[in-house]
Amino acid sequence: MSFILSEDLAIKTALGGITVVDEKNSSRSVGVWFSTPDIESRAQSYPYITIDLIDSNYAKYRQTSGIFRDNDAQGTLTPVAGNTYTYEIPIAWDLRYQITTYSRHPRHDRAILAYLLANVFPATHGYLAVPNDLGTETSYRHLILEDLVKRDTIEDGRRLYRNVFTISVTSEASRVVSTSAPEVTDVLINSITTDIPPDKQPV
Amino acid sequence: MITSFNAYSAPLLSEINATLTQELRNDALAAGWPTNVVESLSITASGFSLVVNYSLDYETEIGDLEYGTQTSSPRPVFRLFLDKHANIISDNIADSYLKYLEDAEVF
Repeated sequence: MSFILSEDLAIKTALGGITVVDEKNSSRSVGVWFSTPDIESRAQSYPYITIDLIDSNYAKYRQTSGIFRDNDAQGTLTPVAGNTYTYEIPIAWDLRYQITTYSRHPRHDRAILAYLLANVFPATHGYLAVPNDLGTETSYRHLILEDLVKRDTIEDGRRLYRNVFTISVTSEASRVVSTSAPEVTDVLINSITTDIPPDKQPV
Repeated sequence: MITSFNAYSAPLLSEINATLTQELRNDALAAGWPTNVVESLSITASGFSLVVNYSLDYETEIGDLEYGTQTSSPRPVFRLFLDKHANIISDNIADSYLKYLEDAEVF
């Protein structure tokens, strides 16, 4: 994993595991998708949440520069002779995401809204746990709720409850990230779609 | 000498409105918004804030473009534009007042 990919996964993890309750199901899972899910998946899985990366900005306001040298883990360990590491201070970035929730049932909508505001996006007090590649350390990033818009609508004669969260996540990228990021080798596309709702046509 | 800074800043704000309106429209076009919607957009300064104006005829369409729908991903323009220019009015007014004072050799 690397810059952006790690944050993507961390957000999906933070949004995962939510369940809602209704008269037919006492533990209905809320799906989480990157961007807009295929129609056959969407039809089967209300309620669900989508994640869209909508912007990435150079965070000039918190950028420092120079070469970082450390031999005591920033004052937390006793220095050992010859044990020093050096790296260039990473580039600061702010990543902006749109998180959208979709529900057919008003109680699902309220339950998801309450859960996210209380546990994942508590205004300016949120944080995002981002594990490192080795699984040995976890960094915690600021996660700030910038905006919340209610966009309920009617779709095909049925109610559709939508909440749009705009959030910012602080991040940073080393200059070596671009050389270590995984390259795309295969693009996998479903050539045959299944489970299409009766009133819809395949693309 | 008594100087009306409000009168002094009025032409400046008018110029900013025109410049930002064009920039917002360029951003919207680049994001793939339809031309008729783009042409309805404009910017006005309200105090130290920017206000985006648009035709109410396109209100639903703009909401769907900005935030996406179940079948289309968001193509945000307003949020990114307003964030990028959050301090532009206060910065420009401060710069212009300073220039005015320098030109008037007040110091």
